Amino acid sequence: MKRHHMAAVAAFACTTLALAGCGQGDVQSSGLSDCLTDPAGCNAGERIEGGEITWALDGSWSAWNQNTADGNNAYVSTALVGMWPYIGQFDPDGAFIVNEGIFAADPVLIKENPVTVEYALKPDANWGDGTKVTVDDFIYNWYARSGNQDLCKGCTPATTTYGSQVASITGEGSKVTVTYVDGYYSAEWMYEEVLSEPAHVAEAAGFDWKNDPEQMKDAEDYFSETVPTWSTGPFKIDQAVAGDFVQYVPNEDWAGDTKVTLEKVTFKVFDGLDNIVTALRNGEIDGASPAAVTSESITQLEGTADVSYAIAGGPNWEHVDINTRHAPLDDKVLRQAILTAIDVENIIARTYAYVQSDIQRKNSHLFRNGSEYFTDYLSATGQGSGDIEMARSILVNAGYEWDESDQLFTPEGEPVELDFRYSASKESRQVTAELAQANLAGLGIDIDIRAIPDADLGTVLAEGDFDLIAYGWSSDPLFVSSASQYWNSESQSNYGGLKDPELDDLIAQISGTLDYDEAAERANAAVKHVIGDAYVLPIVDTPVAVMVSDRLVNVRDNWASQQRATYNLAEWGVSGE
Amino acid sequence: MVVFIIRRTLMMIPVLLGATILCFVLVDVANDPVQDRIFEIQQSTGEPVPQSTIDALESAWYYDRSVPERYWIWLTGIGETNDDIGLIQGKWGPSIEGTAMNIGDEISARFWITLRLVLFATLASIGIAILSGVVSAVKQYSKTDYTLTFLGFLFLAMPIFWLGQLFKEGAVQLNKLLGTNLFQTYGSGTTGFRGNGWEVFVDALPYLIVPSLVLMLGSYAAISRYQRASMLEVMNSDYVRLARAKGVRNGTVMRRHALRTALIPVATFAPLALSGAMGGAIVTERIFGWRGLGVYSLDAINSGDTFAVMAYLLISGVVVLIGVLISDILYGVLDPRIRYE
Repeated sequence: MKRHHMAAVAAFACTTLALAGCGQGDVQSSGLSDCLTDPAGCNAGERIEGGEITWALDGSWSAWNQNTADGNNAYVSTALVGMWPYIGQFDPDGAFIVNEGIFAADPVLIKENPVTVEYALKPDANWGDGTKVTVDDFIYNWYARSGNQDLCKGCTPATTTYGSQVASITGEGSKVTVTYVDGYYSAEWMYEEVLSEPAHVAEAAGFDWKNDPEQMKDAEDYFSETVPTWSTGPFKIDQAVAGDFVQYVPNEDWAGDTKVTLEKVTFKVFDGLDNIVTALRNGEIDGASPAAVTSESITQLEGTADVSYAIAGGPNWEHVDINTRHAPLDDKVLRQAILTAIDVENIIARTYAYVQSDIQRKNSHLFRNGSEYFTDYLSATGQGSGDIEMARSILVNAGYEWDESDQLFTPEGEPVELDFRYSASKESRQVTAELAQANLAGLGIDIDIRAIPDADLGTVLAEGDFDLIAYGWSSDPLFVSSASQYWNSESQSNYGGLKDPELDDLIAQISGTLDYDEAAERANAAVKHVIGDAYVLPIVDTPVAVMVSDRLVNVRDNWASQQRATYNLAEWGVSGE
Repeated sequence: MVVFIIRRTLMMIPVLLGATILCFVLVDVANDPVQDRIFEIQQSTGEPVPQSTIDALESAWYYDRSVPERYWIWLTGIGETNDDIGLIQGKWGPSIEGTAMNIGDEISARFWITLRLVLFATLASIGIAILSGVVSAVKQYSKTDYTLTFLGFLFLAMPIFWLGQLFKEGAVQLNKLLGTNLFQTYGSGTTGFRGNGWEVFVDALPYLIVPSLVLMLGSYAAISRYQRASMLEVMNSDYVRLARAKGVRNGTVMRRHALRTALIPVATFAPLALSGAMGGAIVTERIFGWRGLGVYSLDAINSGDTFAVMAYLLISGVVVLIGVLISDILYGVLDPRIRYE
């Protein structure tokens, strides 16, 4: 016993003073090894009844109402995945699965003009308290997200893209019909989020939301501040603290068909990847799907017994943007030369490839490589090739010149000196900036690299305080509104200020058809056009990791869902093998 | 003494006011939380944020006012407000984290979390520091003195973030070796644990050990040096020499004559150390996932949550000033040479 303690003390001293990893395991389980070939079915297995798990979230939230600007972020969306009435989920193959706890079938388009969609509710779809889901719940969600002061006075919806387009909602029995306004014509009508909070809970709390817009706002505030104990999902919240944790127990009233086996699921917020990996190695948590991954964390996971991990492109994509409002970047020719000179493959090899060896360059702004709608219009243009000669010839043809020190001058005789900005904590973006700086030195362009404090990225983008910038966008299989958000001349998110009426027309056409394939074709036309504008250079789908204890089955990552690995929470369980 | 306390208390007001003005300006001009929130929402929804929502956010957070106007409203609550702001009216102002996040409630809850962490660590560090300081002084220039001095300087020189990570890794390896979960590396207790006070305390122990050890070792070294120097000074004083000359036993001399006097600097330093630790455990809290005041302030600063930063500043400022006041009072009580008028 004494020797045992001595050994323990020696190990402690060894690790604390020598910075060395003493006695690490070398077992690398293969639970997730087939996720590359079978992303939607990997790590599947038989479950035993019971089991408690703790899942780490790498970000927090401060309010419970996802309708509002306060409460809408990816982490609350994940924290509430066990109970929120989402319309459905995309699986890792990009296939849409309607919420089995609420809907009896996929939504049906019953009329095209105006667009009218019918939802078939499961007869026993309920809010976890015995109260059925009704048309009033659809109407509540519409009011909350309408942005219409006559429906919800003083509300702060995170988005009104759905709510502002609804003309009416009616219901009869288990059928609910949503009729949109005349201008609405989106091929993604099936995926609109039509439910959020239970109307009867608002009424029970004393809010006459249907008749009084101010009380509707009060009801929204109530839902923001109150831990939701209602549930339409496989679990219901037992206890929770905003920004800290959510603890679920099974929802006995759930109307879904999937059998729930876990007795308790806890989502716990952790600050930073290092803390997550350490807690996983120490057995404090059972897994996580954080938004970042580093080579150091992979090394640690490799040495951990009974833990599997997989790395793949996640829901965010990295890109370099140019600010077209800043002279001389308003010249498309110069932008084309700059994007041609940047060597994307080299950037990938020196950054993201360290954590994901099979990573591929991203060649479309709207569709992932491998999507049925993916078309590569980018490679043929030479953008991202790092071809300095090609870039120089583009400039020569446009009248640009170099002085004896190889400094580039515009046709008007102005030296080309630019800045390149990136988020301070993102090492990969820093390397991107440095490599781009080296590439553009070959064109005779001086680049001043300037870091952005993480919290200020939004401000820098909104103020257009950059010439070139590396940052990321989140994405999912939906694309209809993305092009408009990124590139429309009037969009708040068109941070580089591109103004191209022809592109605006192409973007408008994307939301002018109800045919999904046709919309994708139009989206690709917009992608092709914006590549010609030399505005945004995609780099990669940002690598992310899922790390899971081997005692769990049916847990896998899902780039196509905002909730990542938790998208199929009802199926999670403790392995029976 | 009473006059002294009143005078010192009144002097705190301009000090705090000056600190709030400086802090308010620094945080406020360095951030634009409205734009950052818009970007965050756009990233989350993939859709534009309605202008009405942007206007409502600016109004709710008082970002539709100038910086001086915002400060004035925060301090007094006088003017057109949403009835949620005005320090002198007992209102902390809105947090940019949303209406569900009440600054007063957060500060209050987190104060006790931090106190739990730093109280034990500070008391333990003072105890160890006194012990090692006395031993070092008594055995001056011996191997024991050199060893304690080396350890003291070692822990003093180690950055707390590094020490924390090392001990955390050590705890993981120790758990692995012993096949236990004796040490927990993140949080202040089992998530969602329910029980009476004693049960909660027992549950928290595995979470308390390593961060307390880190905080303790990080702060004991300085106090230990104080104690050693003070003890040496006293041991070389005339009255200790006189006691020895009178034939008083060495142990009695040390305990009754030397140590009592030598404790004065440390006793007066202790309230200051505790109050300083209340506001300065940021790194330890972050590494070990304690949702205390330090982490709250760091998050608030990072997100530009001005009113939350101000609340933290006031609370930590008041605690430090009270620590200084107690320290001054203790000095007068313990040292007969000091008299307050």
